[in-house]
Order: sequence, then structure tokens, then C-alpha cells
Amino acid sequence: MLLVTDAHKSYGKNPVLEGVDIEVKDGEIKGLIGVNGAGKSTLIECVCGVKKFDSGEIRIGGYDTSDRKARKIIKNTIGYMPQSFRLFNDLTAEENLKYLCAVYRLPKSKADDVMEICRLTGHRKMLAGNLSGGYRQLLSMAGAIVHTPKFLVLDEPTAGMDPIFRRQFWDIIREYRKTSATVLVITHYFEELVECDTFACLANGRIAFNGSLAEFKQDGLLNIEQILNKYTF
Amino acid sequence: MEKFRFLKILGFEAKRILRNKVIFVMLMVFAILTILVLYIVQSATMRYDVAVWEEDGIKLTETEIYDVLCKPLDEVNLSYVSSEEEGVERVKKQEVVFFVHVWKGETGEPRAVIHYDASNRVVALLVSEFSELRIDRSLDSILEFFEEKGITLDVISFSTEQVSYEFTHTQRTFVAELAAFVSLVLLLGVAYSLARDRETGVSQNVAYIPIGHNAYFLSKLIPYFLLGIFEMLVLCVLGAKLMAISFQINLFIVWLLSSFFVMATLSLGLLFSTMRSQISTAFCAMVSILLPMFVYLLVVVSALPVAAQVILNFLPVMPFITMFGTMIYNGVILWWYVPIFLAQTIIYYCLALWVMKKKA
Repeated sequence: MLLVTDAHKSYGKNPVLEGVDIEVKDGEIKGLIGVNGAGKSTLIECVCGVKKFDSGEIRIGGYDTSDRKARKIIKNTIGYMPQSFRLFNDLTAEENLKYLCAVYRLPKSKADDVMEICRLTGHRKMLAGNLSGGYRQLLSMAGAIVHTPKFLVLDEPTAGMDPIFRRQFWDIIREYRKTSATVLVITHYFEELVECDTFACLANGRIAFNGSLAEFKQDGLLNIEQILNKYTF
Repeated sequence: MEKFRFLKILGFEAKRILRNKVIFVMLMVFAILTILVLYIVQSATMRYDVAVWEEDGIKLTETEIYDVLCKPLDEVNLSYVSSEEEGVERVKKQEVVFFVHVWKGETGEPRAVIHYDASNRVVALLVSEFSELRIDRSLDSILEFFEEKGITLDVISFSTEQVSYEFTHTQRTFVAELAAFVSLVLLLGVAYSLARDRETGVSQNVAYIPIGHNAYFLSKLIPYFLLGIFEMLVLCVLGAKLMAISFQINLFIVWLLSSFFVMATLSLGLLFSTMRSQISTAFCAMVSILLPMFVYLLVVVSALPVAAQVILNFLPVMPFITMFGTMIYNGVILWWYVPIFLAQTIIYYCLALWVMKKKA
């Protein structure tokens, strides 16, 4: 589904990504983990088209993202939940989703469906700006899956959430996976990697580890700090 | 289907504008201010002192010169002098706004010379009007005269033919007020709306949801466009009713042509919205309104260097004041200003688009 090859990105003179290669296979949940400033969000933003790589290639569903003609297909293929809330604070939860339905040319009923999935039905008439942090994240998630994308990209979806919300969130992700979707998820919580088929660890702008949790444990590693100690570039 | 989708998106954007308390309060405040200012301006009577030296049995009040010089002023108090020196001295002491010397010409027609302090705004505006109407002397020749003399005291002579001047000085300020109020609401509204979206990251949605920059921008601009032309209509009607301005041209044409000004203003607002922060956006919006307003109110625009005039005309307020002033007061449509507004619209829109894409 996703193939990133030799990706480089820098902000001014500060390199953030230095030759990142990553692959997310069809139907898998891939985790992306790393310390703050490792370049995880930058990598994901480049994948979703918010930012551009300085060099390198990204293919989503076989389409090169630099191909302008393919952008429309790619936009319909991906569902992106950014790290910060990027829906309209001055619209209600329902209106935000109906807005996205209009954008994706979907019937309005799809908004109701997705609110049901994301447990937002009770908050549908609340302005997004007035929702609590957890519900805003859920609304953001609903916005990302409203068009049933084949490739779901989640940037720290459970950051700052209480354990109940986190569990709900992963229930939604697991449920959504049944639509044979591929998921790329950034997380800071090491224990959430259990939910992922494979994961990659980004450190100093490079992939320090790429594999399954079982492979990770075979290496005798137990947490991110140990990865960083082992793979210091 | 595509148009239908755009209308739906437009509906959500319109809903957002109506829900936005800041914009709503701003609109209310400006509506109240507009009525208040128009009322104050209308109820205020400005009284001016004018020195007169009459020769050869000519009575200033019986000539057309009086209509030309004094009628544009709300209320005039004439004080008679018996020599040019005395009149000029009173101008220098700022006891009078100007001094008029009238006498009989070679063929018996009344002739006049005005003496005034070049820094006097009232007379400068009168001169500007004479110049725009192309009566006898152009402003350039007046300025040349200033330069030759190297002094601020000026002398103008003009014939009394061709002149018809039906508006008071206070009525003449209407177009500037119109430009200020409409620009303030539109520029700040659209610029703030987009800048806020950019700061909250909402504008980045265009990168990954199937909506283009053009659709996103237009869905923002169209509600404000409708708001702008509605505001323009309301203000024109208020002007006609409260300030008793008799439009020299069909109000519908004025309203129709104002849509070009509204478009240019919105595009400029769009460009300002691409700035780094909301505060710099608001600052630029205010400067782009206040700069031409101050220039218009404090100096004679046509007396400025060409480069300054060109720069000022890059901002929609200045061509609006010129075009609509001429249209409303003189009944003449300066059609060549329409392409100026269109060019501004296209340039600012494309620049905003380019900056947004570059920042993305």
C-alpha cells in the first residue's frame, strides 16, 4: 500500500529525515514509534501530501504521489487523522462530518454511520470546539474514515487520552481493519505496539528498527530506549 | 454534480461565518458606526470665512463664481476687504479659508482670482474638484505656479463657465466613508477567517481531502462577496436618505460596478491572510485601508508624484474613491477602472494561491 524510498527532508539546515525507507503492506497495521523530534509526523505529513520531501519517492497504492494526475485518486485512497485537531471548531460534530461527506460526494447518511462507529452519536449537536479532547480525537478519527479509505494514517491518535478512550480507539481501529484497510499509526505508547502487525522505530531521521514485536523481543529489546542505545547512528 | 457539491461546501462556510462571533460583532459594530457617522456628518454644519474684494461694481454673490466657490461649503461667512494686500494678509493669518478678488473682464464678464494657503485642505479639495472637471487650469499648472514662487500662497484664476457643483463638502466625503466601511468589513473578515483556518491547521486539509485550493478559497470568498454587495447597497441607500445625496447616476449601476471593487478587496484580503500571523494580517489590512484614506483626506491625490499615485492605485480603496466619486457626483462612469479592479482581483488571487501552495 505504501512504499517510501530514500526519503530526505530538512527544515532549513536541520535534517529531519535522512534516507528513510519504509513499506506498509496491504491489510496490515503498521506502527511508527520514536522519540519526540524523530521525524515521525514529518514522515507522515509528507506521505499525506501536507509537506514535500526534499528527495525520495512515495508510492501509495502503486501511484507516485508526485504525479499530479494521481493526486485525486490518492486523496480518495487515504484517510488522515492529524496530530492536532483540524476540523472546524465552529461547526457541530455532525456538520463537520456532513461537510466531509459533501467533499467526498457521499450521502449524508454516511455521517450518521461513522458517528455510530466512533461513538459520537450523543455529541452530534455539540460544536467541535466545545468537545472534550477525547471526543475531538474521535471526531477527527470519524473524519478520517468517513469515506472508508483503503489506507488509514493516524498521527498519535491516542495521545493525551485516558485508558478508556484509548481502548475505544483501538476497538475502532481493529473494527475498521475488517474492511481490509491498511493502517499506519504513530504512537508514543510502547504497549500499543501489541495491536500492530509490524512496527518501525524512527531515530535521528532514520529507521532504527523495522519488524514485528516478536522479532523485536528476539533481539532482547524491551523498550524504545534500548533501541536507541543499540542503533545509534 | 461538481457544482452541487461546491454549493454544499459553500453552505457550510456561510454557516461558519454566521456562527463566528468575532465577525458577527464586527459587522454589528460597523453597521452602528456607519449610521452614527453618517448621522453626525449630516447634522454637522461647517462654517467657513471667506474674504472678498469686489471691484468694477461686481457683486460676488450675484455671480456664478459664488456658486462655484461657496456652494460646496456648508455655510459661508463673507467678509469684505478693500485691497489685495489686506485679503492676502487675512489668508496668511488663517482668518479666512481663502480670499477672492472679483472684477469685470475685458468683455464685461466677471473674473476672479483666489488667494489661498496651499496647506488649506478645504480649498485644496475645491481645486482638486476643479482640476478633475478640467476647468480652465489643471492642477499641474497650479503646482507649477507654486514651484515658481517657492511659497505656499497660491493664486488661481479660472473662468466661470462650465461649472456645476451641487454637492456640499460633507456630502463629498460619502464615497470615502463608503470605501472605508466596506473595506474594513471585507478585508478583515476574509483575512481573519482564512488566517484563523491557517493557524488552526484547517487550511492544510486541502492537501489530503479531495478539495482544491480554488474551491476552498471560493467557498470562503463567495459568502463575503454577497455580504459586501449587500453592505454596499445598504450604505448607498443610507447615503441617499441620511446625507441627502442625489446620485448623478442610476443607483443600480453604482451597485453593480461596486461588485468589482468588492472582488478586488476580497482578493487582497485573501493575500493578507497568507501572512505569518493573524496580527500581521490585521495590520496589513488596516494599512491598506487607512493609507489611501489619509492620502485622500489630507492631500490632493493628483498632486502626488506619478509613482505614488500608481502605488496607491494598487490598493482597491483609491480607484474606488476616484471612480465612484466621479460616478456619484458627476454622473460620469470611468470605465477604465473596471479592468483595474479586475487586474487587482486576478493578481492578488494568484499571488495568494502561489503563496499558499508554496507554504504547503
